[in-house]
This record gives sequence, C-alpha cells and structure tokens, in this order.
Amino acid sequence: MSGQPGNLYWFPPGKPVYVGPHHYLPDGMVYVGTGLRAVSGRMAEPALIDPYLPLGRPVSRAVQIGYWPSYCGVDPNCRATYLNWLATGRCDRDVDIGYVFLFFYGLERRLLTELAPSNDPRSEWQYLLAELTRLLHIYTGSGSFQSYGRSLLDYAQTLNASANYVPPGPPRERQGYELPSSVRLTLGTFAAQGKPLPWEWAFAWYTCHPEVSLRTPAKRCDKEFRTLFGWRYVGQYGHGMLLKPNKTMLSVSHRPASASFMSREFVAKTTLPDVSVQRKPFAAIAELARKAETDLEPYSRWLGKNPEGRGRLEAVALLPDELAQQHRGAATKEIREWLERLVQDKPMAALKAEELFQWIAPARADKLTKKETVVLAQLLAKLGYGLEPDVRFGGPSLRAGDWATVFRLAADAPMAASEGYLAAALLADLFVAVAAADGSLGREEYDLLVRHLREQLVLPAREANRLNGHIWWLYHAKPSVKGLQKFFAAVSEDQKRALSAFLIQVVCVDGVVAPAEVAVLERVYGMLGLDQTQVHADIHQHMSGATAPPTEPVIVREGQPEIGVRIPAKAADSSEPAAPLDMALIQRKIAQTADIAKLLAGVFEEEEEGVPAAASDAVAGVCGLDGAHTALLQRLQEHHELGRAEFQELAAAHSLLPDGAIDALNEAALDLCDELVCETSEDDIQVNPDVLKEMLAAP
Amino acid sequence: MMLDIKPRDRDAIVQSLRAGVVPRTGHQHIQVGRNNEVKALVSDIDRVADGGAAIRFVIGEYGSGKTFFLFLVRAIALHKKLVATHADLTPERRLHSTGGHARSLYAELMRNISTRANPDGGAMPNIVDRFVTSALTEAQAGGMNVSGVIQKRLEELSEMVGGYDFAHVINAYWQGHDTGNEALKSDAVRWLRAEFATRTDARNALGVRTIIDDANFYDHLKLMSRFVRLAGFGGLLVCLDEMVNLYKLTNTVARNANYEQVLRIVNDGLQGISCGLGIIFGGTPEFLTDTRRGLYSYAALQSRLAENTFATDGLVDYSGPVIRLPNLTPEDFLVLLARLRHVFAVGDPARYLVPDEALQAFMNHCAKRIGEAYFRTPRNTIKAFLDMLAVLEQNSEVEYTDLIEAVAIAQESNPDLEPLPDEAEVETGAPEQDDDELVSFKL
Repeated sequence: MSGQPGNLYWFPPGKPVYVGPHHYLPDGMVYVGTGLRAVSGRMAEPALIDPYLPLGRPVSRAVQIGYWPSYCGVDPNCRATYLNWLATGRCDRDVDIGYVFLFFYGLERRLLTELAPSNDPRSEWQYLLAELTRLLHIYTGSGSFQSYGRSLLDYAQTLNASANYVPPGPPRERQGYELPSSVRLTLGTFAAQGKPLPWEWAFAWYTCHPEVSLRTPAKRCDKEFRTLFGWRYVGQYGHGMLLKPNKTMLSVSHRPASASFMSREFVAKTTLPDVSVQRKPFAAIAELARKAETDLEPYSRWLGKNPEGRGRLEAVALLPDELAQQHRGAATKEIREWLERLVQDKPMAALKAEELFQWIAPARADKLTKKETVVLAQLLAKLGYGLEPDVRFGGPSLRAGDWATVFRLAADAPMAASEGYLAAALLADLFVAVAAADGSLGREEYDLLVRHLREQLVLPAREANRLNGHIWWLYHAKPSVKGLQKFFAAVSEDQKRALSAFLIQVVCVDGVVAPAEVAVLERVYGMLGLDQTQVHADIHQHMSGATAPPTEPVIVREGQPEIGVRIPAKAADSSEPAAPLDMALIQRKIAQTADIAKLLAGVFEEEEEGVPAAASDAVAGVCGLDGAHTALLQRLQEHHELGRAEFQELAAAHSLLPDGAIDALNEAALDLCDELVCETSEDDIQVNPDVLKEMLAAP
Repeated sequence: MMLDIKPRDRDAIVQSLRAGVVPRTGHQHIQVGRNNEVKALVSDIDRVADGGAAIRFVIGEYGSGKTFFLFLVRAIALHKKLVATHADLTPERRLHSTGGHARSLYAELMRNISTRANPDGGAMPNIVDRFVTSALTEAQAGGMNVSGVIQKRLEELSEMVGGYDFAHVINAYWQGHDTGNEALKSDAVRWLRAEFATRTDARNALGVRTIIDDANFYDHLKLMSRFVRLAGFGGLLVCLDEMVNLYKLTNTVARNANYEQVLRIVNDGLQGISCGLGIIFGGTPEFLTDTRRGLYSYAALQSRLAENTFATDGLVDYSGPVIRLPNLTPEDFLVLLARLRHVFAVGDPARYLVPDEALQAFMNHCAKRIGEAYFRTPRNTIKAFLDMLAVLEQNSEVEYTDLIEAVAIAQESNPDLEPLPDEAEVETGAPEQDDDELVSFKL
C-alpha cells in the first residue's frame, strides 16, 4: 500500500494488503492506514494497523500483550507477532488471546458501525460472522473471548431479525452475571415456534443460570452429569419441554470489548418472548438437575479419593442406575458377560464366594469386609443382579469357601429389607438350620422342605426373587447355628408359645403339611422344651380352624344358649377342595411376624467383631469435649487443610461420625473464643491453627 | 456498651443490609430497642431448652422488622444450643394441604435446619451424626450392639405418630455408615428431609412403610424436636414467617384447614404438650385480626389469641402468645444509624466516616423526602445510609454534606396490601394446583 494518510482504512474479506515489506495479509478483514480515530473519538482506533509504526522481530507467541491492547500501544515485537499471526491464517492455537482480541476489535467496529445486517450468505456481514464463529471454535480456552465473541454473534444474529436463528450450540458455562443471550434467544425461539426444548438447551439454561452454582459432583463428573441430565430430561419430557410464550419481549445487548466504543451498549429488540423470566419451567429443570447432582454424589466423592478410578468397577457400583446400566467400560463389559454366562437362562446360580472376589480386588484374599461386600452387592445390583448373602439385607459378609447365590433382580427390587422380608428370611433360616442341625433329615426330604418354603413364604414379586436367592443360598451353605439350643432355652414361656403358634401357622398356611415340615416342627418343639406330640394336636387344631386368625372378631363373653329358632346344622365343608391361597392373609401374617423376627434376630446375627475401642479413651478432654473428640482435635494439629475423605478416615479412627464431629468441635470452639476451628466446604476442611492452639491449651 | 465487631460480621451486615435483606449474623450489633420483646422470646427459648414448649405470634406492620426480629431470635436460640430452623410460607408452602404443599414446607424447614456451629442451614447430617456418635460411644463403653443402643434410645419416639419409621431410618443411617453404603446414608437424610415423594420409593430405598407427607407435617416436627434433644441439643425452634400467605388463600376451606393446623399447634404449645419445641409465627396485623380472612376469622383461635383486656393505654403484657412489635421511633432510628456507623468502622471510633451531626442531617433529609415512613419502614433508609458511607469510604475527598442532598430514597409499598386477585383469576391454567384450590375456579 502506498501510505497516503487519509485513505480508506477497511480491507474487506478477500482483499490482500501488504504491511511493510515482509507482511502480506492475503484476505484482509483489518483496518490499515493512519489517523483513524476510535468510535468514541477520544483516542486512536485500537484495531488500526498503522504501517508506519516500527516493527520488531516476532517474539514467542505466548507472550501476553496485556488487557485492552491497541496496535499503536504495544511494543514493536508484539506488532510483528500480530502481523505474523494474521498472515498465517489466524489459527495458531498457542497465540496469546490478546492478539485475537486485537483482530476482534476490528470485526466489532466493522459490524457495529459500518455494515448493515444481511441474511445473504455472500454478504460481508455474513462472512465476518462466519469468521467470528471460526475463531470461537479455535480459541475455546479463553472464557473472556468466548463471552465477548458469543455476545457479538448473538447480537448480530438478532439484528438479522431471522426468527429461525438457532445459535451454533449451547454455551458450556456462564460468563458474567447474566444468562447468555444465546440461551435466551433459543428459549424464545422454541417458545415462539411451539417446538419442544431440546435437552442440551435445557441443560444450558441450568448450568448458565446466574442463580445456579454448580455443586462438586456436577463439576468433577461433568460428563456423567450431562449424560444423566440428558437421559432423565428425555425420559420425562420426550423430545422436550413445551414452553409457553410470555408477554415480556426479549432484547439482546452487546457491550463491545474494544476500547474504541468507550463501553457503549448496543441493544437489539426482538419479537421473541423472554422465556428466561418464567420461574416455573426453570424450577422443573433445576429440580431435575439438582437430583442428578445429588445422585452423583457418592460417585463423585469416590472419584475425589481415586482421581484415576473412572471406569473401575467400584466406581460403576456408585453410579446412578441409568449410567451404570449403560456403562460401556471394558471392565463393566467383562463382568456383564461373566454374569450372563453364570446365570444364563436359570433363575439363579450358586457359586463359591471367592469367584466373586476377583471383581473388586479385596484387601484380603480370604474374606471381604462388610464394606467390600456392600460394594460388590451394589455393583451387581447396578448390573441387574442380586447377591445372597447380602450385608444390606442382614446377611454375613462373604468368606472364601462359602457359598453365594447370584440371581436376576426384579426391576423395582428394593435396596433395603422390609419387615416382611426380614421375617420371611429369618423363618427360612430357622427351618433350614433346625432341619440341618443333626443331618437326620434325608436329602430328599430336605429338598422338599426347601421347595416348600419357597412356595409358602409368599412375598411381593420384587422381594420374592431375593427370598428365593436366599433360600437357595441356605440350601447350599447350610449355615451352622451354634447357639440355637442355648437360644431356645433362654426363650420365655410366652415367647415359646408365640413362636410355636407362629410356626404352625406358617406351616399350615397352604393347607398342606409336608412330612419334612412336621419333622422340623417336632424338633423345634423339643428344643423349646414343649411336648413333641403336641405338634400334631396343634396342627390339627389349626387345620380345623380352632385357632382363628386374629383378623376375625374375638369372643369377649361366652353367649348363653337361648331358646329360640333352630339353626340348621352347618354343612360339612371339609370335603371341599383346598381354596386358593388367601394372599392378603399371608401378607398380613408375614407382616405380623415383626416381633418373632426380632426374637429370632438374636440367633442369626453374625458375631459382631466388637467395634474396636478408640485409641482415644485415655485422652483427657478439653473444652468440655470427650476423649475421642479431643484426640481428633489433637490429630488436626498436623493439618491446615484436609480433604473430606481424609477427615472421614481420621474421624472413623476415633469412632466418630464426620459431620457430627465437626459440629461438636466448632461448637466448643465458638464457646471458647467465638470462632470456628474447622471451616468446611463441600470438598475439604480448613483448620484454623490459632483457634486449635487455644482450644488445646484450654482446661 | 459497644461490642467487639469481627470483620466477617461487619461485611455480612453491610452486604446484607445494602442488598435490602436481613443479615444472617451479627444481629446483636444492630439491634435497637424492643428490649422487652427480646426478653420475652429469650424466656421462651429457655423454656424450650428445659424441655418445655413455646408458641408466639410476632405481629408487626410491613417493613417494621419482623423478619429481622425472627432472625435475631433464631440467632439467640442457636447460641443457647438449640437447633433452629426457619421458612417463609408461600402459596406452595403451607401448614396444611393435600397437594404436597405441607410436605414442601417441611422440606424447606429441614433444608434450613441449623446448629450453632453450622448456622447457615443444611445441618441435618450434623445432627444425625451427633446422635449416632453418642450411641456409638455408649455401645463401645458397654460392649453392646450399636443398632440395639439406637433402638433403645429412640424407644420413646416409637410410640409417637411416625416414630417407628423414624427410628428405623436413623438406624438405616448408621447401617449405611457402618457398611460404607453411601446411598443408604443419603437416602436416610432424604427421608428425614421429606424429600421422598412416594411410599414406594421410600420402601425400596429404606424398607420403611411411611414417608413424611402433608398429613403428618406437625407430628414430624414434634418427633424432630425430641430427636434433637436426644442428639444433645436443647430443643428445636421453628420460625415460620410470612404467615400472611395463609390470609391470602382465597379458598375458605383451604384457609380454614390451615388455621385448624395453627390451632392444633397453639393448643399443644399453650398446654406444654410438645416437648422441646418452640414455634414462632411472623405475620402482619391483618393476618391476625382480620375477621374475614385472618386468624380471628377462626373462632377457636380468636379466643386463644385475644389480647389481655387490661393491657391497654400503653400497658403491655408480654406473657400472652401474641407479641406486637412497635415501630421504631425517631430516637431508635438515630441510635440505629449510630450503630451502623460503628459497624461500618469495624468498631473503631477513629474510623467513623461522618460526625454525629451528619446522622441528624441524614434523618432530616429523609423526613423531607419520604415523610415519617423513613423510620417506620427503615429498609430503604438504611440502605441509602450505608450506600452513602460506602461512597465516603472510597472517595476520601468527598464531604458528607455534598452527598446528603443527593441521596435518593424510594418509598416502600406493602405488596400484601395490593388487592387480592379476583377468585376467577387465581392461577388459571395451572392444573397441577392443589385440588382444594380447584374449588375456587370459575369456568
């Protein structure tokens, strides 16, 4: 270029320009010349490339050129770097974002002050917007550039007044303190057209909302959070939620990044409704999202402890159901196939417990801890299988050499035992234990008994599955019950009667009494110290209806025979075929067994490995705290800040629960010096060393 | 006497007041007047801490500082080692409903539940942890089974409505902790916070048969108050603000059902039946005495809440269930401005930004601009005063005399006094509304 002052400044797209001898800018889109003033008139235009200004040597591209750069204001080396970047296609990812901004200032000026909006794809307006979109895809690392760039793009597209405008994609996070215009525009467009809101935009509405602060699970497991939200949104709303247009109209504003404008604001009014002011649809979306955050919490916490653990089976066990079922990790695939092979088309499979150990890498090879058993059970449950014995349902933890059963879970299978289930399971335990006590029952009888039990203890389908698994496990494992005799001896007379009556009831519930059952009952009567021959009398009494279930009216006072009308004799009904089972009655009976269950619970409870007494018993308390809390306080001296998981372990070492311990320590600290000793956030705990010292010094 | 002011309190107070909301901490620094009212409530709190019951209606005009007063009481309760919680009533959160609105009020209360060490809400795990820890300690000392100890300690709850499942859920929390079952633990907390919407979900997650729902809202408050005592706290203080929302219910049946619930609470409170539970209602005068829609429209409540007929002509009785908050006087207001100046200077008189005369000048200006309302509804006036101090702090060359005349103060209007919507207009086209409100639709 010839360098006459006062010539045209803007080189439109495709018009090449030389700046000095070395810099050939092939496709324009810059202001070149001298003397152009800023839009505000208060300074030289920051985007103007003045060819007479000295150029140095290009420096490292990453050298920052500072905020609010201007071409005439930066040093000669940076100018050379800038021209290099322009000359090489404006796509170098490593360049300092300041250079991109310098170029952006030019686009901003051209779009906002010199061009008229146009929908023609060959227009300069559209060309510049395409260039801006290209840059936004390259320089994704700068939040500031993304924010200004998107804001300009949204504003410009709004000016185009095309009601069909849908921004290229939802923004990933909020920039600044407002819901991004692109989100507001899209919401308005969908509402105006009566189209359902796709999940990506619903998600952006939540994540970019100014009142939302994302919780740790949403940040640490952002992909999982996104997916979970998406699935659940689609599950609930199908193609999407329908938004109602409201009367408030949407206007989109852009505050230019370039200093040229002196923070002038550009506002574009639209005819779209501003849906973002509606509380109701947002509340529904927010509830969905918050639930997803909460459901990801266990998984997120585990990842906090094991940052590299994504995809490990222990992690899959903690995922929300939907995510676990769809999990495609290698390990997940392997165990899923293994389970398929194991169970195949049978309802359940029995196996040696150690075969299961491989999946969760336990600390010891010979047995799992309670916690490990829970992880295993949770993992299998996520994949659609149940495990017996299951700690969560009152079973013992697994040991190598023991039997276990794996079975398919019903879709709505509970994750905790109901009373009815506990009672039924205990009863099965009792029957099998008694039957197996001295092995005098024949194999066939034993099989029959087990089959019978399964038929008799009727539970809703969602629990029946597990009970079957449990009985199958009992069948294989024949858990020995050492204390049975002792237990029966200690039962009071009333309890004995209640227990025997209950057992009779259960045995007779289907109207058929199997010989094996009678044998078991005889033995129980013996153990209870009751007359064994009484069994037959009791069964007879029950079968003949003498001991009516308590659901019928109870006789309060015997009536006196009165002379009156002769009542016809009752028709004999004993010959009638067995009536179909009264399911409701069975349900009721099982529900009534809570007391019996409590009674029996004592026998079968695994010998609890006595909770080890905390090492802190000997510690003298300070500040009115007990020994355990004081010991914990002392241990905190070693830390200024510690992760939640670390604190949990520390608390557990002193037999304390974490949140309660923090509460108690802080309460004592407030009493002493009106300051907190532990400041907590979702992820970590900060210790105030001054307060700590003061507390430990206090009597 | 001026107390020491911590920078953290100072920031909290200044920020909240400038935003026009009641600060969460540091109330003692800016509480002015109302000594007798505070004393009455402190005695309530002491009674609750002794295992008694308390019931109060704090009645004040719009903008007179009800909410501030409730927060102050809440802070005192926390200081005295009670568990405290608060919630505003809204059209979606009520004491009685068949459409989930009472459960949603309970859920809000449980989300806001606070202890002294955790005054910003969300303290449910802290409370349960402390209970379980104490059971754990007892079990260790006696070589017993932890579940057994929990069961024994919660025996007294089991006889109350919902108590059996409550105990079961606490035990589930312990089981979850003991077996590393985070899901079980968080489900237990969700149950306690009334976040389970259906029985089926609760049964599958925890094996319980019931959930906290509309029907057992108050029973569960009573359970919770006993439980916090078992966990080592003094009792439970519940602040229910914006009771005017019941007054605004257009449907008579729904409104009366809510007042019936109030009556039940009042009866229990006055008879001392609810143990370790204090409930404070905050509302405007029309909520109390309007004979068409207010509490006085419900005869049984009117007779219980009628004020002492001897307490007239300046005599007051603070022992009745109703406490009427007087408006601030200009003198109170001057003291308040002085306090604010003191707080702003972090308690250091050398750092006062304006001299004493400025306070008077500011009041004169306000009186000129919006009349006597400036001390009756002080929210905007306080905000303006703090804004002025903020400008003075950042621009040391500016004199307060330059600023005072420029201070703009908006007059406040009471949104509750706007005419209630015509019954036909009420939330048309909202099918998910409670069915007891459907009665008010005109087709």
